[in-house]
Amino acid sequence: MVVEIVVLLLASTVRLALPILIAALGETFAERSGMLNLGVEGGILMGALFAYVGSLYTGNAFVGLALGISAGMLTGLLFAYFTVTLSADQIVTGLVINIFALGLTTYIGHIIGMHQSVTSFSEFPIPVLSDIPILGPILFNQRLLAYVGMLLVPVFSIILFKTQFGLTVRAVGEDPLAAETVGIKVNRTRYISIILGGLMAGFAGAYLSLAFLSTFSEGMSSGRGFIAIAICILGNWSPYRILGAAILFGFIDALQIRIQALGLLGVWAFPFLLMLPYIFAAIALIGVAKKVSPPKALAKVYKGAEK
Amino acid sequence: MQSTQKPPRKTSIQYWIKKSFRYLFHYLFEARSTFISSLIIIIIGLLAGGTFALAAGNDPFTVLYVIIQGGIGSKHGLTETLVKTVPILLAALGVAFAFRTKVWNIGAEGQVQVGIIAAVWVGTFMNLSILGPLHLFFVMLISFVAGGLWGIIPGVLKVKRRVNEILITLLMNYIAFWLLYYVTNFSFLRDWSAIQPRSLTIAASARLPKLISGSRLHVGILLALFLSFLTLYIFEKTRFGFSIKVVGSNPEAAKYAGTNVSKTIMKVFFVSAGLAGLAGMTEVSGLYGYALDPVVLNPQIGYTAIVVALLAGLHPLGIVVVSTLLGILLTGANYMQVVLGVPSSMAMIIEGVILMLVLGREIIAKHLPFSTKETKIAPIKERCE
Repeated sequence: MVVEIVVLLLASTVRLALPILIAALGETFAERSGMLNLGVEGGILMGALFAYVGSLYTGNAFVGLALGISAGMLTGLLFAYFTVTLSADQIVTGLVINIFALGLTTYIGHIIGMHQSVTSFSEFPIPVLSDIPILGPILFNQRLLAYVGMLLVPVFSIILFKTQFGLTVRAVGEDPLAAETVGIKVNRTRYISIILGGLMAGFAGAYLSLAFLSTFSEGMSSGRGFIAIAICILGNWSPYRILGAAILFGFIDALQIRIQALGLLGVWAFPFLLMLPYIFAAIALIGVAKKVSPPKALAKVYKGAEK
Repeated sequence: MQSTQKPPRKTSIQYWIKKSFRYLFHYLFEARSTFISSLIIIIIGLLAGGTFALAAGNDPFTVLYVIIQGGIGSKHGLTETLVKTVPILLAALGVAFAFRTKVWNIGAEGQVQVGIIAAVWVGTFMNLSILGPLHLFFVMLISFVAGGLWGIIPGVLKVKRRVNEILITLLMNYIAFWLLYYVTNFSFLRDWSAIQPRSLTIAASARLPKLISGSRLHVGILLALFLSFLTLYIFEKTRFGFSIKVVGSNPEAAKYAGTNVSKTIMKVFFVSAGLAGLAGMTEVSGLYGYALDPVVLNPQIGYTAIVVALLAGLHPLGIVVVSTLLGILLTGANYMQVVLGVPSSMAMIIEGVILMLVLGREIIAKHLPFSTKETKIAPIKERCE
């Protein structure tokens, strides 16, 4: 009986950790190139909405997914334009994008109607693997999108640390001026990494409205974009550590939901339980503050080498 | 801005009235590029946001007209506009304090909510009503302090442990949200006899009196205006304001100039958050008399305040103007929803578009006929003297 609860808990952990993991993986790339994109929250929201729209009007979840990812990429493009091309302040730009995204998604949501049930990705148990006693239900009975998300961790790790592109990105994030002098196109690299981040944010958003839930509601990202940024810090900007941080966070989230569902505390505890994930993220950030090493050029404006 | 004559030594009220008119004149006529580009931006923003109304079957011009009509076209509209302006103005002043110091206090939203909780708590303390008007004073004081304390937590963390204040303040917003939810739904402060979840109504002695009878407008607007001028004074004429300027432009140099950077940062967090707390207090004490369940009604004062502060270039008088404009927008958007059926969330789109245009303002300004090298506008963050 206890085992069953634990298995359920861990399965929920994976389910809850995934959107944050996906968004964090993308954001890591952007941050590794020196760009702090607070607009991840907006990207997730846009991805969630447009995935919802796509699925609503075509009845096909994959169309929704594609639309959501595109929306995320466009949001990233917007951020990149302002911060890389126009050299605007990254913090301010990110916040502005979030505000705009919240307004746009809420508005479109009002127009087409939120809370409708749409065709989504149902659970996709992997034939043999999901029958393994304990690990099965936890790891191999998730949605399709979740498997993609899980696979992305090693993929991103390889890209970041073992490819030329990854090296370029990291170089740009540590010292853009030096990178420029060896011929690296700093702006282009940043554009790519930011759009990649946006892509992942859109993916995470699509996961929210098409896999995690089956609908869209106002502001449904609920701060997950910011948590993703926190996860980047906690994971010291490397994919495997980020996986660990995301799982930890997902566990806390799953725990508070389970406590509510089991009615272990009174109904009055519900708001405090909802606070838990955010409190946990804050405490984790505090604990890790002195031990992480961010990319040196993170959030600094770079206007290009002096000609 | 360079003054063209030495200011008189006395700081009488006359001087300050003259000073504010001088600023108004400057921004209207001298900094022509700024004014014209601001005007263009506002109009483009309204129209661009308005094009989204096409999806709801209305054209942007009708929408624009209706919004303006709703915001200032009637006594009801005007008073409602000012009612909405008050908390936004106060919170935006707080944001200005923080952003000028390059301290990224994004927690205004949560700090407002903590102020609301404090105001309800002190306002319902029945024993205090004996004190009469002093009760109101205590409500204001405690709301300010409560908000300030909520804000000083990230301040301490930033100074002592180098924690990124952006994330902490953001996370604390969500924590404060659920705290307010708890207070209005489950705590002893809840008014169980009311249909919708809300807090008890505060004592009459804790209410801000109405300014115009027959409307919802309360004296909070006077408080907000007073604090705007006070903020300007602090920025320009006090040591604290000087520390803010110095720390905001170059914290390293600040240390050599003898400014205690850590102390300044913590003071700024406290004041910034305190003003937000005060904003929350005006919602309770002036407008409703109680606190509403934030899930039911969340006017997002904190985030709007950030928008206002950014749009106004972090200048207190600019903040007065911009928050009033936003009040018009918000009131007008509600009216538009009733009259045209276009969702009022369009106001947020307009805010976002205007913000993006302001971000790109420098590019726009370069192409204006009046602009010369001298009138090139500094990016938002640097334009705070």
